[in-house]
Amino acid sequence: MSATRVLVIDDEAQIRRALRGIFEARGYLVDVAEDARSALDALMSVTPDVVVLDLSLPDTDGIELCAQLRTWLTVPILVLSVRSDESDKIAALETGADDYLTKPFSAGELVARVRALLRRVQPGSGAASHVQFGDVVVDLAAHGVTRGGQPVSLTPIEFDILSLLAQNADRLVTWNQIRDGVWGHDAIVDANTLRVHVSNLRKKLEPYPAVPRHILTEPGVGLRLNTRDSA
Amino acid sequence: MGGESSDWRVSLLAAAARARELVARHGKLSAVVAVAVATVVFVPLRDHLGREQWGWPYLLVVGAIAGTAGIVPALMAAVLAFFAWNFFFFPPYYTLFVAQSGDLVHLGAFLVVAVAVGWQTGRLREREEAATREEQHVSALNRMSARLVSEDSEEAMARAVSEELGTILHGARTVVWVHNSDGALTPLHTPESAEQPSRLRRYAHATHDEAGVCLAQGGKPRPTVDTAAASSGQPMPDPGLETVDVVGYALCASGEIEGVLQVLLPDGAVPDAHDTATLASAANLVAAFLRTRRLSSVAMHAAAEREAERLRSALVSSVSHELKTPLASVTAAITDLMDPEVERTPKEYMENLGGIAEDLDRLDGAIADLLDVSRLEAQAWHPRPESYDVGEVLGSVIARMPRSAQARIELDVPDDLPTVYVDFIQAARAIGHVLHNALEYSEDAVRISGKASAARVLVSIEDHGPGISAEDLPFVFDKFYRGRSGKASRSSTGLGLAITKEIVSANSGDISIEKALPHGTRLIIALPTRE
Repeated sequence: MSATRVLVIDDEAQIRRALRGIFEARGYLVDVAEDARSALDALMSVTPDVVVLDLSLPDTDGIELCAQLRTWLTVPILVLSVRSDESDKIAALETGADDYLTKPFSAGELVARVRALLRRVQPGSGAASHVQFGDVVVDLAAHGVTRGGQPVSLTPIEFDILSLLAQNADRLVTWNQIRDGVWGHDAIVDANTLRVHVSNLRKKLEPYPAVPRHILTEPGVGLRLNTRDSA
Repeated sequence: MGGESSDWRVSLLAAAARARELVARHGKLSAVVAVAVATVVFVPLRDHLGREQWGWPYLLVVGAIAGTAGIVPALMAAVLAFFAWNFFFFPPYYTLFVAQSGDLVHLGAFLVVAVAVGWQTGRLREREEAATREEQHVSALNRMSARLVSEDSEEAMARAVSEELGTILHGARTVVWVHNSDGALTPLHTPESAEQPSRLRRYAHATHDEAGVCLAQGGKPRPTVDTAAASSGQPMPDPGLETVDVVGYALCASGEIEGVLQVLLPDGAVPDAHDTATLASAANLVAAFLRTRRLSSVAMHAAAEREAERLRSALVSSVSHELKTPLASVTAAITDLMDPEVERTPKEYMENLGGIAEDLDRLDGAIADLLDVSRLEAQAWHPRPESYDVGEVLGSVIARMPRSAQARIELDVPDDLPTVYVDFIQAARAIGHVLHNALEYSEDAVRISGKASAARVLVSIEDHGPGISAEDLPFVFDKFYRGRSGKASRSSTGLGLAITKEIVSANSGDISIEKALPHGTRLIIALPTRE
C-alpha cells in the first residue's frame, strides 16, 4: 500500500513547517498550500487521502473553500481553527468538514485525529475490533459490550450508536452522521429521541451518568467518544 | 351664626379685593368714574355744606384713588375733582366761571393740596407694591435656589423652576432648553402644550448669537425676544397653540452658554424691568445648576477613564508577565537543549520537553483569558443558548483535566435536574475557571454539586483550601485581582473569575461566593432553565 498523502492548507509558514515535520516523521507524504488558489492547483495534480485545512486563509473564507472542496472531493477534511472561532467551526462541520482541531494542539492529538479519519475511509487499515474507554470494552465484531468484565445489555439502537462512536473513537460524530448511520438516510428522527437514546447509553456505560466523561457532548454538532485518559 | 357672619365677612373682603384689583388694573378709568360718582352723590347735598367746604370730600376721593391706583390716576383725579368742584359747587353753577375772587384761593389751594396728596399717597402705594413684589420674587428665588440644591435631575429642576416662576409671573410658563451633544436645543421638561420646534430652532440661532453678547457683558444674561414669529403675522404651524411671544434668557455661567430659559407669558405680555431682573436671577441659578451638573458628569467621566487607564496598565503588566515568563523559560529550555556541548540521555530530553509543554500550556491559557476578556468587553461574544444537561457541560470540562485533578473531584449531581438554557462553550469556560481555581487553591477534594432551585440550576463548587479573606472578597470578580493567600497567585492572569462573572451574567445567570465549613470557598453559579 502506498504512503498516505496529506494536503495541508495553511497560510502560516510556521504551521506548514510544523505540520510537514509531524506528518513526514510518521511516514506520510505531505503537500502544502498557502491559500485556496494554490490548494486547488495542488488538487489538480495530486489526490490526497486527507486534507488539513486552516479556516483563516488570506484569499478565501475557509468555510467557503471547505464547501467548495466537498462538492467533488470525498476524502476527509480536518479543519483547524483558533479558539474564538466556535461558530466558524460549527459552520465548517455543517458544510462538510469531518472534524476540527483547535489551535494550539499537540502532535499526538493531530495524528490521532487524522488516523481516526483515515480509519473511516480505509477499513482494515488498523481499525480496531475492540475499543476501550474506562472499564468498558466494545467488541465491534462480536456486537458485545462489557463493563468491568460483565456483559452489558444494550438495545439495538443503543448498540448502533455506540458502535458508530467507537468506530470513530475520539472523533467528532455529528448528529446527522448518527441519524444516517443508525436509522438510514432519509429517516426523520427528532432531536429528543436521539437525546433519550444517548442518555440511556450514558446510564449504562458511564461511571457517573449525570456527568458523562466518555460520551461527550459537542455543543451544536454531535458527540465524541472520549477513550483517551488525559495524563 | 358665627360661621354665617364670617362667610359674610369673607365675601365682603373678597369683593373689596376684587374692587381694588379692578381699580389697580384700570387706574385712569377708575379715576374718572370715581370723581363722576362722587359728584353725582355730592350735588344733591350741595346745600348742607358751604361751597368752599366740598373740597374735603373730593380730597378723600383723590386720596383713595392714589392709594389703590397709583400716582397718575391720582393726579388725574385731582385735576378732575378741581374742575368738578368748580363746575358744580361754585356759583354760577355749571360754568367754570368763579364769581367771587376769594373762591379762587380755595380752588387754587385745593389743586395744590390734591396734587400733593395724590403724588405722595400714590408714591407710597407704588413703593409698597414694589416692596411686596420684590419680597415675593426674592422668596421665590430663595425657594428656587433651595430646590435646585436638592433636586437631583435636570428634569426635576426644570419643573421646579417652571412652578416657582409660574406663581410669581401669574401663569407664565417656562421651559428650560439645553444644548444636547450635537448642539441642538432640547427641552428638559415641557409643560402641557409643547412649543412647536420650528420657532425654537430659529431661537437656537438667536442663542448662539447671544453668546458674544453674553461674554461681553461679563456673563449677565440678556433677554431676547423672538419678534419675527410674533410680528410677521404668519399663521402658526400649530393651530392649537395660543399666540405667545417667545422670551428667552441665555443660561450663562462663567461665560459659557448652557442653554435657554424660555418664558411664555399669556396675552402676549413682555416682562417688565422688574420681572426681567428676577428672570435673570433665575436664569443665573439654572445656569449654575446646569454647569455644576455638566462639570460633575465630566468629572465622573474622568474617573471612569482613570479606572479604564488602571485596567489598561494592569493589562499591560499582566500581559508582559504572563506572556513573557513562559516564553522566557521556553526559550531558555530550548536553547539549552540545542547546545551541542551538553550530553543528555533521552530521559533528560523528555523531562525538559515536558517542562516546555507545560510552559506553553500556561502561555495558551493566558492568551485564551486575554482573548476572552477582550471579546467580552467588545461584546463580540454573544451567547448562543441551547438546552443541555448541566452534567454534559461539567463532563466536558472534567474530561479535559489531567487525571490527577479528575481524581480529586467529588460529584453530587442528581440525574433528574432540569436542563439549563445556556451557551455550552461559554458555560464550560466559566465552570472551568472556577473548577481550576478550586483545584489550584486547595490540595484536598473539590466537590461539585448541582440542585434545582426556582427555574434555575445551581452548580456549586466547593474547596477546602484557605478560603477567601474578608478583605479580598469584594474584589475577587475584579479583573487582574489576585488573592493574597493561596499558592495559585504566582501563575494566573487574575482574569478567570472576571471572565466567569461576565459569562454568567451574559447567560442570564448569577454567581455568588460563600464560605465553606470548616474552611474553604463555595462558589455557586446559578444557570437559567428554559421557561
